[in-house]
Amino acid sequence: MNSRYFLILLLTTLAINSASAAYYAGAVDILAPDAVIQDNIFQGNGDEAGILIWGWNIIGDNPIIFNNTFIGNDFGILTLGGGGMIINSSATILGNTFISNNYDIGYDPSLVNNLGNGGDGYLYASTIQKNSFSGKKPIFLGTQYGKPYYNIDITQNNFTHPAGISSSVVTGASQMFDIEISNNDFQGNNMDTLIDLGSVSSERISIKNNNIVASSKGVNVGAARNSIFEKNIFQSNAIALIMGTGTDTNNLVRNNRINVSSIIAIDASTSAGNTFTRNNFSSNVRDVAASDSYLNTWNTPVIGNYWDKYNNPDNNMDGIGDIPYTVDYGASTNNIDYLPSAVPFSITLNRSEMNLNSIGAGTGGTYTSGIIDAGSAALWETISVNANKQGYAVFTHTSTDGVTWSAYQAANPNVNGGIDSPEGRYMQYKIAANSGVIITSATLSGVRAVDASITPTSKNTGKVAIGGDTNNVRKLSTTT
Amino acid sequence: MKIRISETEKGKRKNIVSFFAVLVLIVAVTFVVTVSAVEGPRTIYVDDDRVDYPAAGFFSANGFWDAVNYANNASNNVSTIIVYPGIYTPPCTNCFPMHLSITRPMTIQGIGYPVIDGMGFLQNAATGSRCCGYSLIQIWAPNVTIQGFEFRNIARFVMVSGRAPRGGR
Repeated sequence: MNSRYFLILLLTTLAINSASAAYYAGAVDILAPDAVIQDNIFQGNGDEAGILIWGWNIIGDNPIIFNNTFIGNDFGILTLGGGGMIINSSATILGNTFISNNYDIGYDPSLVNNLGNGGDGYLYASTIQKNSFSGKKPIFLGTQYGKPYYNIDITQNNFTHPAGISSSVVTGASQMFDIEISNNDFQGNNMDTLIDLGSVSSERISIKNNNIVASSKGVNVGAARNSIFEKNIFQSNAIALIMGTGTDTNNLVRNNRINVSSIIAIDASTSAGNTFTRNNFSSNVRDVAASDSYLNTWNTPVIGNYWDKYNNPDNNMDGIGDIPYTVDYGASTNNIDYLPSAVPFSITLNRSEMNLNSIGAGTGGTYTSGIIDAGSAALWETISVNANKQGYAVFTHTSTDGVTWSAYQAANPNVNGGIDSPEGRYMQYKIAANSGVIITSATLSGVRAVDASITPTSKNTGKVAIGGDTNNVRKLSTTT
Repeated sequence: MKIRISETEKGKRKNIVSFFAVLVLIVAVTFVVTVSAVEGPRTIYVDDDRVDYPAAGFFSANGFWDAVNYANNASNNVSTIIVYPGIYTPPCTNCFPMHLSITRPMTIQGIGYPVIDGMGFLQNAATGSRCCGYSLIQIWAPNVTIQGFEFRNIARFVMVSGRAPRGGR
């Protein structure tokens, strides 16, 4: 190309751009319900998105985006809106691989403008499960007009944050409600925050059962309130957990293992009203940053936390140190664990999982759940299954002792709950799927104690707390 | 009482039976053919060079686009499109539209990861116009499945001020 022609082309391009606005394109735009995008490769769409889920008069509800690979796109999956439609619901983003995209899933208001008719897309009631992320900004939950994200499960994913990238792995830039981030592996690059709940007051965030490794900040709670952080393993972070800012935050931090933090395990110096219990603090340079201006509770009436720096005796051998522990001695005198544990708590990740390769991906197969323990004799009422299409059968059996089991009986998930197995403390379910059927989740609900006098251990009166298969059976103790 | 039938009469009766047998056969065949024609849905095949699937009904670089547009016509009664390996590019004689709308439920299945190439900002040799970046495929119908493709080279769309956004932007 000669220089004159190049100059004309350059000036023309600049002129066009000065009078124009850039809008996103997708290789595939989803504007209608029940789309299945499966086993594809989206690559080299450097300025654009692999998949665009968006509302434009029709809402792109219930898409299943399964087992695709997104490489080198600006966005892997972008949620947009327009035409007055502002939501995209019930998306299942399952088993995909994201590599070297600028953004993997989400929406960034700083990059999109002049959307036209207002409204922007965001997700609700959606699942992001078993994906592999190694992009610059894996999940960005923010919208142009600050619409909230709610009822999203981010679970069983693998996040590897590339070296040299400076951004959070999961970012909440809009309000978020009822978000569950569980059973994920976060491997940081020692530079960034892995989970940033943002400065907008989100509520009912549950972060549990995650591996959170090698970050500058593992979790920044930000302005989140009424949230729970439990059973996570924080390892080799500069600061494992920053409790954000606020005086009535009411967050619960329990059963976490927080090791080898190079600066602070938990920074609670600007946040009050949180409760910390049953956490293990080991080999951290500093366990807690606290302030007398922000008081938190460091034990329940039963037990506090385990601190490896606590060197006082347990002369009465009750498992609790005999002297209260000032959690940030020298900086705060009133943040005290009155019941420090004399021994570490047993904290392990519960990682039972559905074998998606055998039950989905077009091959069919059978998935058998873990054994679910109701804690006492229980009636099992309801099981519901989400799948991309019909072609599966559900079976249940129960046991009073976990040894002798009733015969498997077919359940009818979508009719009156459908569990016909007899009462029993223990329950197990099995799903058999035909080729091409993708089972995305199974949910148990309506589990009730046979003995009404039993004191429920969950906050829902009349029901029992359920342990066991928490990865696949969600919200067991909160669904009626 | 026994009735005697002459040989001539027997022959006539045989002919009548044969006639009705043939008639029934014709009607049956016609019925089967008719039912086959009415029954669907159909599967159509795309192979850009007809090497992998010589009987492909759509066999150009634009074959993917042509096949989907064919399937969009309800009277063609297509439920499934099978696409064989190749590089498929959008028709690009004009700037608009180069995207492909899917307006009926269907399954589009790639075999061996055929490439759907957006061509980016390539200059169109025939017209000199630029192929605008634009969403490649837009799903406007429920229950559409797209499986087994590679999508690449979607380019940034530049919208002249005042023009209403379409598609994904």
